[in-house]
Amino acid sequence: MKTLFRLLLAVTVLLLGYGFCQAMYIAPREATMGDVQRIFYYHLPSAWVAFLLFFVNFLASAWYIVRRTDGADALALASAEVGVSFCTIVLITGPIWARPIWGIWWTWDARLTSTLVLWLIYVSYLMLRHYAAGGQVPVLAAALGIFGFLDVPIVYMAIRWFRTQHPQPVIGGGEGSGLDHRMWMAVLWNLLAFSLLAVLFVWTRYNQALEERALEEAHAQAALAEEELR
Amino acid sequence: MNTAGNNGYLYAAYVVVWAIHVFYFFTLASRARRLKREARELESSSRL
Repeated sequence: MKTLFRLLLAVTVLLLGYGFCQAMYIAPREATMGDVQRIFYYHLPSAWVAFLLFFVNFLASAWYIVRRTDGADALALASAEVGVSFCTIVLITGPIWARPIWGIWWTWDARLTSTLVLWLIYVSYLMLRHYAAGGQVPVLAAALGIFGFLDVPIVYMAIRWFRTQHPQPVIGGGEGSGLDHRMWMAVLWNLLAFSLLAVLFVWTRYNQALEERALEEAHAQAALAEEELR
Repeated sequence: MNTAGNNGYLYAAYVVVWAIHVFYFFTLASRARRLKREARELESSSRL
């Protein structure tokens, strides 16, 4: 398992480097926005990876509700935590891109607002996991994970359902949408690199969550044994 | 649109992305160290 992890780590580092080169040097300069448009090659893959991780959280939460396995709970926690980190990137790179192009950092349009709500839902999920105590916390968190995921399709569809400041979708956005082939390659390489990075992060966090649980149980057993000795 | 003057925003965005990934990496590394230390402490206290 360690060898596979190291191999994946090496491939991810190489892909991240290649994705960076694709984004900064190989993808053509966008005619209207200029080089600042290259933020897109990190912004879009980060959003897709965040959505994917929240979907994993949804599945793991549903699995936990049905089967109550430690593995499902650990996977739900790991995917939510890594998902929040990618969603944070989306929420920061978006305004940095918006400022020179729209002239404003933020606007309360449907896409931006629903993304902020999504981030807040999963931050509250993590706060619940971190600060609440008691045996029911994983169940409550799983319920939040299942209902919280409802916001993901709203974020995705917001630019189709509402008139927004945010650009129209690059996939299936109708006439005039789409990307140059070389721009697509930059998106896809970075999507692959970020997905592998997310897998490594989730893998590590998942093992840590299981280890934390084992340690908690060992502490509880040690305390019980100490009590019996007294 | 002064596109060349906007490059600062591009670099800022890329720096933020890497800073967040590096920060999360160090969070995982520090948690791993804490867990290892706790496991060691538990093991030594159970020996006593």
